[in-house]
Order: sequence, then structure tokens, then C-alpha cells
Amino acid sequence: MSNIIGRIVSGDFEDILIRQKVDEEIEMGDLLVAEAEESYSLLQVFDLTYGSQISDKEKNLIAGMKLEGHGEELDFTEPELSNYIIGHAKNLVTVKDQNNNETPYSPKKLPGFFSELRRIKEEDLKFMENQDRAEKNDRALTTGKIRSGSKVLDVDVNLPGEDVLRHHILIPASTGKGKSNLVKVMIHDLLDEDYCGFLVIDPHGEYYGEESSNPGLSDHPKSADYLSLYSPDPPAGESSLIININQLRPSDLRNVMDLSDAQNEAIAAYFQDDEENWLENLVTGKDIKGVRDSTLSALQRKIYVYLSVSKENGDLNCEGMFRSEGGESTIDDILSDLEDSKAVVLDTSNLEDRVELLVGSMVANRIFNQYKNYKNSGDLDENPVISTVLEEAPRVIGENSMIRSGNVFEKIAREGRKFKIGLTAITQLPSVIPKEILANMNTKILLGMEMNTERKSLVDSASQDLSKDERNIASLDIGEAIITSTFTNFAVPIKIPLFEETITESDNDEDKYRDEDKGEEVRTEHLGINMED
Amino acid sequence: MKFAHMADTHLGAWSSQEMKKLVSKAFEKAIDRCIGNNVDFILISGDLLETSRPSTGALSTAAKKLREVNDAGIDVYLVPGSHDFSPSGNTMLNVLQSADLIENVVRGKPTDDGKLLLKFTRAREEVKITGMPGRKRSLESKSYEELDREGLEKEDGFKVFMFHSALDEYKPEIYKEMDSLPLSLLPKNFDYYAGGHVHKKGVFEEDRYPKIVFPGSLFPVNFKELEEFENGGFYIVEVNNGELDISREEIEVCDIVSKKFDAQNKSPEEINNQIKNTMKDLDVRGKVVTIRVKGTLKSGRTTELNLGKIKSILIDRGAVSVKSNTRKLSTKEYEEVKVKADDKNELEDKLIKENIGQFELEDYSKQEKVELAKNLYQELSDERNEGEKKKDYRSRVAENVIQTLDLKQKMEQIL
Repeated sequence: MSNIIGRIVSGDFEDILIRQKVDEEIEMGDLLVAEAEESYSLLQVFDLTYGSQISDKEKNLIAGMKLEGHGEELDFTEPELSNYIIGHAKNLVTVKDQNNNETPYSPKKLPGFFSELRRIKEEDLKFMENQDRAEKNDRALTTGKIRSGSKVLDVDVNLPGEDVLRHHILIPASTGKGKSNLVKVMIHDLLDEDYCGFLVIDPHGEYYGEESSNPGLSDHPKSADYLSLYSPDPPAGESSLIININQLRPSDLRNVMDLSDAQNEAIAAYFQDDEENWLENLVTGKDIKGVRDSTLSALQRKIYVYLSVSKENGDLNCEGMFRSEGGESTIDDILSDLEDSKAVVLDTSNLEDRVELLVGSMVANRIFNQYKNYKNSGDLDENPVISTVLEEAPRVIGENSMIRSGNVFEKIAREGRKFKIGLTAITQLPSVIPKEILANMNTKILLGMEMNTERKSLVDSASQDLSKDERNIASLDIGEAIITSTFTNFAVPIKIPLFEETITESDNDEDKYRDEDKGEEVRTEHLGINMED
Repeated sequence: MKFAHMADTHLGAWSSQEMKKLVSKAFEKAIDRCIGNNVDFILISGDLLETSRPSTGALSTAAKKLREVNDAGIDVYLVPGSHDFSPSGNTMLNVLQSADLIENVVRGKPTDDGKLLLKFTRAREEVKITGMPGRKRSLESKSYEELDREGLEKEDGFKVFMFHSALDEYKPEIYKEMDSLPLSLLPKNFDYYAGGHVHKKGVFEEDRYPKIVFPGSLFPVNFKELEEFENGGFYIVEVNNGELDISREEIEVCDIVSKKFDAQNKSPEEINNQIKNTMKDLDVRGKVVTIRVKGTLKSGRTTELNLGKIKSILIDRGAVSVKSNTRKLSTKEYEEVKVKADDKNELEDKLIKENIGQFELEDYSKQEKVELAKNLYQELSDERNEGEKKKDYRSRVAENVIQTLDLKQKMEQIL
């Protein structure tokens, strides 16, 4: 074995101690390999400490002498042997060579005592490619490249895309650690795949990318076919986010509004009276038996706050995105885009939280019901998996959720996978998401997280044992992440590329498509237009 | 200044002569109303004709009434619609234009940077009109994407933009499956957006799109529209100091009576009796009657419904025409046929989408394959035009198919 960087000197199953070779540097998160006869073990460093053969008393004395100017020439005898670094590592996976096929197993025994350790090489990770092939993983979701400490290996981390999206993804991280970058990279990677669609509720206007200073999914070479934006002020070619009030059902309002029993009953009475025009009747104050004036007025005020819809001179006055005219097919169009495996970005950057969540839950509800019907009719397999990207997820699935408990997002988190609907939940505060929902999120991509309580909630709900990884998680730099998933053999350290780099690569792809498939770009033939010179 | 805005007159629509006459009558009434109202000009936002080569009857109605408005000093400005547009340019609209009966405002030229610059046509001195044609399956969207929008938006004066496309934002629920464009593809800052294609009326306002108007059709052109809309109409727009006053002109050519019957768990005999009883005391004289039967019969065949007999009784009692629809009718005695669509286009669309996965085409996404199948289906189901020789018909269809499949370009690349 060459390039030895250390040797196993003691420890136990959870904490294998490695003495570092003096001219080598072991980093937190480094991946190391201990070879055996027909297998090798992959170890990951989770802590570093000092080791020394010299007693503390002597070390203190020598340090003091040097500090106080005595015996400047004084040093330890053979210092490289006396003092050293101890790496603490855990055994991630054992890889056995079976019929020339490297197969990963959960580690059941310790690597040989005193084994030599070397740094990981790209070929050590061939078993991951073998797995991809075995799973016929042409539906791969590429999140980044394998990372050993801060060093990046040229090995893509591919996850089984459909399963991962269906079984929910949690992306927890502190501010500025690259959450949106990661989601953009993921969606960009899958944008032209026919097996998945994304509903992105975008409160910060950062996913579509209209301007060159803020690149986004519209920079994908196939964005014209696979990306739709619904915005209050859309750029040319994209749609306005307006919704007809007749599309609203009582349950939509109940999801987001705090309503008294009397108000709930009033809403039910209006709906029962006229399912099509119930909201208009309510706002314009149609007389309905059993609804008191005071209840109606309070309800009208609440509706104005949420929908900006009011009565003016006896008519309906719509000031916001909810309209009495137009917007009748918006939700159907969004649904149809998603079923066509597009990424749909809802630009909610100009909407208040509660309106954003009302719109988001309306759309998510329709998807949920539609896919439930597909399952009943046997059509589910024909349709793509849909993942809803939720920023600041605890607003809807947290203990202090802004919308009603039992809302559609919680329903998706709990049972969406049966219907091919998943969540991609982004948060700074995973600890406020109920444990059972966290447990349902089968893939977690952990970016840097400074707060101890937040790290702890992640460690407790991870698919792999991360009890030793708190320091690793705390020390993650921007773009560094750990994937813990039921779809990986071990918690995989990765480096996520910058979105800007990703789009530069795909620009090159676009040129390639053009060269190979189409020759020169063909100008549109403007049929039906009398062209003059 | 006063102008009329209508669309989707569909002269030549319907197969029966009685219904064709009603379509013509609606057009005649509308034109008479325009003359009576002393409008300065008329906008027709597409689908004046049912096809690019309509029957001589439809064409002569068009020519006669357009001549009358022309004689009254009223100009007619038009954009071709998805029905009367022809990819080869072979449309009777050209004949009407050559006879100075209409003016097609869709004119443009390519700019140096590859964009499409639309040119304005002047109506009277103060109005500038331009527009875009409509094509089947919203194929016009590609041209919209290449519009030199800035030039159009900066143009001063009173501007009208004519178009024949459904817009995502204003598509009525009954047309939710219809191909449509986002409003954002239309250039901003025009004073009036004269729309067509959507057969339901609607007036909308948006920031930088002050008036977006769909007059709807003049008369229904299919069963569902007969049920939903009854009659049609158009708008008259008066402009005073830049203020627009839009008023509706309803065109009633015939009363329509629509009846729906639920056949769920009933026998054919029960339904026959129910229809007869409903119709017994109904005054159908001079009216169009629609009968829709849906649900699953508990016994017997769907053909055991005596709709033919009921129709002839109603015609004998003076009904102008009787239309029936049993698309959502099935029976328990035979295997249920799943029909989830409400009209032909929707049904085709769903069937193609359900089955497209069985066909392998390299480099085509699912959506592209669906589009290709729909286009091919459309081209191959194109009927022979009146007077067109078989040989010409065959080569026209072949040429269209070659164009759809992009074969010419691929062959050139190979060679």
C-alpha cells in the first residue's frame, strides 16, 4: 500500500483511532481506506485530537521554558515520534469484491488492528457506479461530487431520482450556506427529464432568473419546453398569476384563516346556496337565512385582508391576484404543466405570506386530489412524480404552522409518496418540524448548520447514524453537504457545484445539440404574415 | 370615432343546411347592425370563414354583406384565424382582399437582428392597427416570441392590436383544454386588444393592457356552445378623447332550448318516456333543440334510445333543428367505454397522451411526441377542398406531412 497517511491504533466500533503520519494532514470529514484481503473499509474522520508520548508535566515544562525565553534550542527527542495527531473515524461501509463486482455492505466488523490507511481514490467508489447501473438508474438525480474533507473527487453522487423525490427531501441549513443554490442545481439537472415535475413556490424570486445578474432555471437550454413561470408581472412568454375567485372552495379559506364556528357555518351556508358564486355572494352580502349581519361583516373583512376582494357600489371589487374575471384556468394550466413534467415557478415575491400560502395550498390540494384519482383509476404510473419546493417549510409543516394543522402540505409529507407527490422542504429550523414528519423525509441534504439544537434534531432523525457527525455538520463550508438517505449506503459527503457553473456547462451542451442534431439554427417561418422587404 | 369588433363568425360552419343558414343569418344581422350604428370601421379578429376554402354559399354570404358595408363607406380590417388560415396561403380571404372587401392587417418584415417587425395599417387617419394571425394549436406562438415588441410598444397614437388566440389568463373554464398563449407575449401599451378564437365574450383589463376584448362567436358552432352560450354577439366601441365606451350588441337569430337527461340506472324505455314527456308540452316552433343524455343505462343498448324518432317528431312540430349528444352515455350490459372528454379535440388529445408512451422516437420528449402526433393527425385528416383535384389534394397533404415531420431538412442534412 502506498501513500499511507495513518494507522489504526485503537478505538472501538464507533470511534476508531488513527495515528496521523507526520507529514500528512488529516481533515475533518476525510474519507480513508483500510484495505483487507478481499475487501476494503471506507472510514470517515469525525474528530481530531492531539496525541503525545510525553507526560503532561513535561510538556507543560517545555512549553513554559520556550515561552519565557529559556532554552530556545530545546526540543523533544524525535518530535515526529513523540507528538502527533489522532484522527477519530467511523466505519462507513465495507466493500467486498464479488466476482469482480464491488458490492457495498454495512460494516459488521472492525478493520484489522494496526491497519494502514490511505486516502480515498476515485476507483474506490466504483461500487457507487455499479449500484447506479444495477438500479438502471437512468433516472438519476445528480446533486454534486463526492467530497473527502475539503477535497473534491471526480465522482458524481447519483441518487435514484424518482424515489428520492417521492419520499421527500429536507434541506436544512443556516442562512447563506447555499440552500437555494442546491435546489436550483437539482431542478436544473432534472428539468428536461420526463419522469418528474416541480412546483416551486418562490417567495424571494430567485429561481426563474430573468436578469443576467441573477441566473436561474430560465438559463437551461430547454427551459422553453420544461419551465413555466406564473408571476404577477411576467416577462414575455410567461403567464400572469391570477386566479378566479370561483376557483376558491371553503376548504381553501379554512386552511389559512382562523375562523370562528359562526364564520365557518356562514361559509358553508353560502357554498350550499350556490357552489359557483358563493364567494361573490358572500362579499356582495347576499341575504342567506341564518347568517347574522355581524358574522357576515367580520367574514367580509377577513376575506378582504386575504384576497383583496370587497364590495364597491354593490359590485365586486378585486384589487389583487384574485379576480372575478379571468384566471379560470390558471390552476388547471399549472396542473397540466406539472403533468407534462415541467418545473412550474410561482413567483410569490410580491405576495404576503398568508396569500402565498393560500395560493400554494390551493395548487397543492388540486395536485393531491388529482393524483389520488390517478391512483384509483390506475393512471398513476403514466404521470410524473411531482415535488413541491417549499421555502421556510415550518410555515406550513411546523409546530407553529401559519396554516391549519392537517393542511395539504402535512398530508403530502405523511402520505404523498403513495401518490407520487413529494416535498422538497427547505428550512433553517428543522427542530420545529414534528418528529414524525422529519422521519418521513427520507433524504436529508445537510448544509452547514451552526445551531446545536438544530443539528441535534437532524442527527436524531437521520437515515444513518450521525451521532458522531455533529462537528462535521457544524464545520461544513458553503456548498459542502452531507446526504443522509434511505437510498444511500452511508451518509455521503458531497460538494455541490455553483449554479452559475452548472449553467455554463449546459450552455456548452446546447451548442453540442445544435451542432449534432440541427445544423444551423433554423429561423422561424412566419406563416400567415405578409412579409414585406 | 366608433368601431365594431367581432370575431369567429365561422361562415360555413355546421353540416346541416338549417344550421348553416343560422350562422349566415347571424353574420348578416351583425353587419346590418354595424351599418345601422354608423361605425367607422369593423374589426374581425379571425375565423370569418369556417375553413380556408368554404362552400360557395358561405363565400357568397360573406362577399354580399362585405360589399354592403363597403358601399356604406365602412372598411373591414381582419386577421386570419385558425380556421380560415392556410399554411400554403391558399385561403379565400385572399380573394376577398383582392376584391377590396377586407384588409388583412397582418404585415411584417424581418429586422436585421432576426426579429419580426409588424407594420401598422391606418384606419382613418388617427388609428393604427396591426395584429397576428391565429393558427391551429397556437402555432403562432413561435412568431410572437420573435416579435420586435419594443418597436410596437413605443409607437404613439391610438393603437389596436388584433389577434386570434386564447390567452392563458382569460381562458374560460369550458375551454381550459384549449391551447393558449400567455398575455405577456402580446406587445404592451396598445389602446385596444381585439381578440378572437375564444367563443365566449369577455372584457378584461390589466396594467399596460388597458382593454383586452373577446366578443365571442356570433353563433355557436358546436353542441356544447349551443347549450352554454345560446346566441352570440359583438361589441361596438366609441372612442372620445381617448376614453373607450364598449357596448355589447347581442345577436339573436333563433331561440335555443337545451334539455339534459340523466340515464343512470334507467332502461332505454324509461329514458325514451322521460324525453317524450319533457318534450310533450314544449314549444319548439322556430327553435333549435339540444338533447343531451348521459349516464350508464342499467339495461339494453344505447342505440335503443329513439332519438331519431324524437327528432323527427320535434321537426314536424316546427323545430328548426334538433341536435343530440350521447357521448357520455354507456350501458352496463356491455363493456363500459371510458370517455372522459367532452369534445372531439379534447378526446383526441387525451387518447394521444395516453398512448404516446408506446412509440419510441429518438431525441423526442413526451411532449414533443404528443405535439408531433397531433400535428400529423391534423394534417392527415385534412379533407379535400371543393374543386380540388385528387392529385393536388394528395400532393398537398404529402407536402404538409413532410413539413410536419421536418423531412426535407433532415434529407438535406443526410445528402
